[in-house]
Amino acid sequence: MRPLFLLALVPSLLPAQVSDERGAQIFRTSCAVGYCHGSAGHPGRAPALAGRKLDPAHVLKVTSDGLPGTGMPGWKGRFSPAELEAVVAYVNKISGSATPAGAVPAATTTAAAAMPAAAARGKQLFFDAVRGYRCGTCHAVEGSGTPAGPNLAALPAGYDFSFRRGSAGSVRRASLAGGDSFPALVVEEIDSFLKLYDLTTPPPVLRTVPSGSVRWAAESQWRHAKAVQNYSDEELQTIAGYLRWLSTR
Amino acid sequence: MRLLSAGLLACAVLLGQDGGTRDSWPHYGGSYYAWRYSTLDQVTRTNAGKLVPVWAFQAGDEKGGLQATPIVADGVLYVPTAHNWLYALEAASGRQLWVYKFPLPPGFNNFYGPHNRGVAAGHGLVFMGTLDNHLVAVDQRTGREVWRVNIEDAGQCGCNVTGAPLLVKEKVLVGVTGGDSAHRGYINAFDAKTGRHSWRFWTIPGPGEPGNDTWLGESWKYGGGATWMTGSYDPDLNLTYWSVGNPAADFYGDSRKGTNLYTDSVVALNPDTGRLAWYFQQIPHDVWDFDTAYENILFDADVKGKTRKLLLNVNKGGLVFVNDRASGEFVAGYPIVKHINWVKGIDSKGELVGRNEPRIGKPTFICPAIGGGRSWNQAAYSPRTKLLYTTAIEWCQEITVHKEDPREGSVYFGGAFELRHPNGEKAHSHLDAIDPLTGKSKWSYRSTYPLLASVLATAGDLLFTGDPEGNFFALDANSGRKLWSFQTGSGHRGSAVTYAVNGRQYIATPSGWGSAVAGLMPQLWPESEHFRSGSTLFVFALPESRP
Repeated sequence: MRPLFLLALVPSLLPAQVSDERGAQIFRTSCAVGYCHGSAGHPGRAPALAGRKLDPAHVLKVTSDGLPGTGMPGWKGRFSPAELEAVVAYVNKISGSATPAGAVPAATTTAAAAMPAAAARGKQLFFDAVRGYRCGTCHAVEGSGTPAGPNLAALPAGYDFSFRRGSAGSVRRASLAGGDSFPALVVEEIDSFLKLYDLTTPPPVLRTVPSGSVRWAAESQWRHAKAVQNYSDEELQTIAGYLRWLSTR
Repeated sequence: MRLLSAGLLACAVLLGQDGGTRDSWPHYGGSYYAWRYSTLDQVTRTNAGKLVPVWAFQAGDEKGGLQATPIVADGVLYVPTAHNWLYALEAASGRQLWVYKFPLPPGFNNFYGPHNRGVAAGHGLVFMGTLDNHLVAVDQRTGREVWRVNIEDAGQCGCNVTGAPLLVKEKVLVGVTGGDSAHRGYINAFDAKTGRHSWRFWTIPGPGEPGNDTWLGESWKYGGGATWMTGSYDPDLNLTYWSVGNPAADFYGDSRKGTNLYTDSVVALNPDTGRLAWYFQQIPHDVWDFDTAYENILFDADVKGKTRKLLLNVNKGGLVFVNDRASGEFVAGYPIVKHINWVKGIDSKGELVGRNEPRIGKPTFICPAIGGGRSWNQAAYSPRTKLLYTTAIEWCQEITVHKEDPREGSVYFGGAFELRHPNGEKAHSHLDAIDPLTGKSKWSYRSTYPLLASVLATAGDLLFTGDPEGNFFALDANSGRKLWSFQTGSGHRGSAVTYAVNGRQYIATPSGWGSAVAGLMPQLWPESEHFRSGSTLFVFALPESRP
């Protein structure tokens, strides 16, 4: 008898309740943690949220983008749109404000979700922390990584993705007055100082040297093949697929 | 006359273990032995009451407070602020020589910040870790950037550098935060002159390496093990000692069954190669976030009639472990707090007994609180009194564990907590003078609020530290009696240092309230929500004698 009674009740409560519980659960595991917000919006290191009647637009913005110069990170990209919506609704609820319908614009959050599975796998390999040095150690795409190597997010059609054969590109060998010599990529020259990446060993070192102290050799002896030795051929193809997707987006 | 006495003093010190500083403050912990002890003795118990401020420097970067330990070399003082502004000041006058402001990406923020706890100097360079996980070297004379390295993308790893690097010979050693994130910790060494990477010690062994089997399944990939405070170094043994923090998720341990090496361990590494010489794990399978993360004090002492080279580490759980620093062998262990219930004690082999683990879904009363039986603010050791001077906090919490799955670079606590007063009394703090081998207290100084600033000890048998209300004060190292106090206007969360220029002894302290632990205090002390932040360096000395 009892199970039947429950079954009869649950459907009518379901939508609001599920979102509420999901929001509370996300808040508990991502917001009311460690040195951050207190549970249920009580004070922690981060400001109290309970009963503060916060502006829902402000809650959405801060939750998505974070607060610069503080410990509050942006959750856009870490939460799915549904998760973001649920946790913003929960914060609005405990702060005593209502979430307006359609508060979370899909455009801010759906880019990652739209990525095809193969490209997502390529992205995962590109930034794979388990192998120590990875593509992202020297290249920046989608706001992550170090922009020492060329921009790989906007490659021309017909780009040659043979990463192991890849030429040294604009890498040249710099010799400094003190005898130090290394494969280098010039970034810029400011006030007779040269900023260049030293590619001797990963991660690349952004060095600043007096312009006059550098002598250049044409042949750097630097090879991209060594930089990608942590990847199999199949993995490199998957990464190429991700970059192709990025460039044609 | 002053020069002569300084010379005699130096000779006297050289006869014993040379762990004190002199005119300079060359390393984060004072000397490589991390004693936070100076041989300067111009300011004494007799004249400390006459100390006056001689200059103040307002760094202008008050959000996050000022948690730094200044470095002093050749009459120049280097101090970093919360957002990686690095100042070089004339140590005698406070005159600014240069400022280097690290260009953080616009809109940048990070869970572990904003704060910076110190820099290292040498080879004509000053080295600073950044909020976005770079290591940068600037010219010591000009403040011009010489090199910088992105250690790992901060957004991806959810980690960064807030601790001071340690310069050992030709290499800069630097740790990382990220113990409360889904991240795998490490210690890195870079060539001081070029910034080229030299070695990395993963604090969590990878597949095929000894210790990887102390992690269930794939949990090693996101197991925390941050190295967020600075190591020390024994030149004779050529070993550098670093402390590895808690495993992640902090409270939820079911998905990482095993002892979780090398989290909550002290590791002894060869600084030239990064090779592990020995390790000692204080807390196998930590489920309380009780990092073995703090300083390692290297001191020699007689144990059962034999002089031994020892290492002392205070952990966040309020326990002290003393080990032989040549072999790692356990020598002694004891609590520094009265309210401690997460374990019953430490046995004769250094193993924990009577674990009290928090439960899933139900609040469990645990003492001390997550902010620590002591926070990261460093203790001091005086070779004159042979005592350890450490702060301690009596506070508790209710932990509720939640099952949680990792998301790379996101916070990964596996639970939540709320602070509570201990049973039968109000939460409070104390600074104790204790026998480093037995934990026996010689005296105790009580404080209403948690003492969150490091302790400085001097050969004048003085201790200096500050409190959250802004008082910077001197205690008699032999009795704990307060001899002098000065209101600096903002709470203390950094580390005072002492140095001398032209024979005059100066005592410098950061003043600037802030930090994660400070942010928890309103749960027990609501008024502390309104404690003002700041970012000022105050410097004191005895009045100049007129000819």
